Amino acid sequence: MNDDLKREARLRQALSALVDGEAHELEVSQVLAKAKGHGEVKARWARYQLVSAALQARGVAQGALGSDALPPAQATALPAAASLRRGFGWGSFALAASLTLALVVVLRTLGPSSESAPMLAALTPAPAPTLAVPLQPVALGGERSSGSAAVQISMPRAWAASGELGPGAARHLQALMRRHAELNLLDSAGSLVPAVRLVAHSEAP
Amino acid sequence: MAQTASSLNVSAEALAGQGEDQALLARALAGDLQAFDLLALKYRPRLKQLVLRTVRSEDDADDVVQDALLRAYRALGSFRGDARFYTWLCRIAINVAKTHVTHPSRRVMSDEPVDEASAQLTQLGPEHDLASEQLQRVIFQALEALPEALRTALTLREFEGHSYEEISQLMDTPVGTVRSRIFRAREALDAAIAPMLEESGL
Repeated sequence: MNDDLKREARLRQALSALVDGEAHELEVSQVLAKAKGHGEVKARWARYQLVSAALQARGVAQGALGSDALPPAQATALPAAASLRRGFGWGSFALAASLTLALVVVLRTLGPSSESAPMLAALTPAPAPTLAVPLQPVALGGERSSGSAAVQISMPRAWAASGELGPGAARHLQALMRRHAELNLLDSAGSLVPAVRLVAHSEAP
Repeated sequence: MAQTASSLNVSAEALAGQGEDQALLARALAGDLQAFDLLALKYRPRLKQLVLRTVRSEDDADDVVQDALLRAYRALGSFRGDARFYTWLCRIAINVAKTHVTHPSRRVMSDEPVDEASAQLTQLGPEHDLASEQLQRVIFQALEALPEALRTALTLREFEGHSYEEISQLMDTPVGTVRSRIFRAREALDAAIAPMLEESGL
């Protein structure tokens, strides 16, 4: 690979990192400088965003928690609510918010004061419990489709055992609350409902 | 634009709350048109979807979004970082859309797009393509065909929202390797959708 190709590959890798907000300062400068005169950089950026949006939306809509794409060991190590990532579509957000709300309800139920907590801890390493969550399938772009379905959510064993939200989950719930504030702007009652319910629940005594 | 980061008085904490937009937003606030243009490219499809709830046609939506982005660019100095950048854009777009509907004569049809290339490349991310089942199917087939290491890295990023550092710990792999794997995975998915986009004339 000659130097030009290497530079080109490095630039594309920097662009990919920039999509994730993980590019270094120097790389950001290089990408922006290159973007000024090269439509291909912007075209690639737009395609990366397209792929990212499609993955996030589809992944959430499919109940990607405990996805088949993940090796089992890694899948069980991940907090399920972490799938509530920034940046996916509003419709997907509403769906994800519903899933998270259901998880929060379950985890609160299994809280430290609950008699079930020690019992659950004793079950480790039993298979991760699953929760059937009724939900409305949500089409991309925020349009809601008719009908209902149920998604099987695998709860991480660590969560089920401790009954507490880990720091990762707390972070994602914070992101969720921020999304809720954003949703307030959208004048979409359908999308707001899950987030409102979450707020109400978290503020309950 | 003669703005500087210091004159804009946006705190580092406020910028830190902007997620993956932080780097581009900081530069846009400092007057970098290219940085703003990348942000506009990123959010334009979502803004269009939003304003389509208010205006009736796609053409009108395109006009409204373009107008909103122009207004946003001109009003960057008023952005204080107390909300996410996209939220701020939404406010502007909603207001422009309402004006478009209630006072059509007040429409601002500027001849100065944020960036000419940007205006053309907008066609790369229309929401109807985003919503396309076929496109998603191709993307997911390509995802499934990826080597496991690449698929896992991208999945942890896109589905789970983990940072590179977190993925590095989960996969017991250096951050640089994670970064490379995510990039290679994206390249593969990009190559998979390229024929579709070309067929669509995009």
